[in-house]
Amino acid sequence: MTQHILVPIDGSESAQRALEHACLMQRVLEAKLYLLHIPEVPQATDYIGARVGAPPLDYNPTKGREEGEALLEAAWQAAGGSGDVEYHVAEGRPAQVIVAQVENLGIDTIVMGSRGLSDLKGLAVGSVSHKVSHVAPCPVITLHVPD
Amino acid sequence: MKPTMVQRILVPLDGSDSARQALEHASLLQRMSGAALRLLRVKEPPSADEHLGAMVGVPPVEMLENPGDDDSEERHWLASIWHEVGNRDGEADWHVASGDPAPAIVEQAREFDADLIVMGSRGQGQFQNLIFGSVSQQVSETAPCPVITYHVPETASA
Repeated sequence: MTQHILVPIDGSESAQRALEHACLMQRVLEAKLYLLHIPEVPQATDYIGARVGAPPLDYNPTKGREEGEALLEAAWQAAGGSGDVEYHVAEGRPAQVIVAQVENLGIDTIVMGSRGLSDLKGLAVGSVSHKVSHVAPCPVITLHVPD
Repeated sequence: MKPTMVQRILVPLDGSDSARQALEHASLLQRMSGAALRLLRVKEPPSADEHLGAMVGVPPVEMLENPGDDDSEERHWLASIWHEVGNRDGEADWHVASGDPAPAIVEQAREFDADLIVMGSRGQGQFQNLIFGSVSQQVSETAPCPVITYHVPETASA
């Protein structure tokens, strides 16, 4: 039975290590990988746009999708990936989007990087991987690399 | 660390279902990399049951005077898990330490010169975890090497 492994990619070092690890699992388990990027919509830098937190005028979801797919492709190439893979780009709050994809895509395992609690934001609101591992309906493998 | 270059993997085990699954995962890595595995069990000294000792949570006096050199029960337990879950032809040894789990695991990682720790996560069930983080979080923050944490959903581990 083919395993379906979801790998959220945010461009960080630990996410890249998690992807390398998922590639290894793919080779042993003949799994299919689903790479997921959740773009953070940029904020406009002009006066009013910055005040209200609106995205810049030249931003649109299509642009976010194209940039996201380019980032996933680059991560996949850098990891030396060669098996069955799909790219997905979805907007929203990261932990919720990741968990929603488990059902949408029929995911068996999530493999993701962890930034841990060392940054203040992680301490206050909990890191994304921490949230995901507590609400996901499937096993979650997190990978933490020393700073 | 390329995953295939891993040479020494430390696997702390505490009897939980997620730890057992972490060992299965480490065995899978071992088949790919030929790494040596070390299974670790950390004995936590029991709290004293007399009044003052129980209040401050120190071990009983006899435990302090004689920390208990007899690890045979724990070693036997590790060996039996390895036979159930591990690779028949993979290289593994077992080690028993005692004390506070997270520092004991990190110390053993240094001693073994581990280049990877694979462990289960028991999540946030205990109140003290809210303040200090779970054992796996504490290990992730302080270990000298990458840490892979295996988390199974509550319903599956119950």
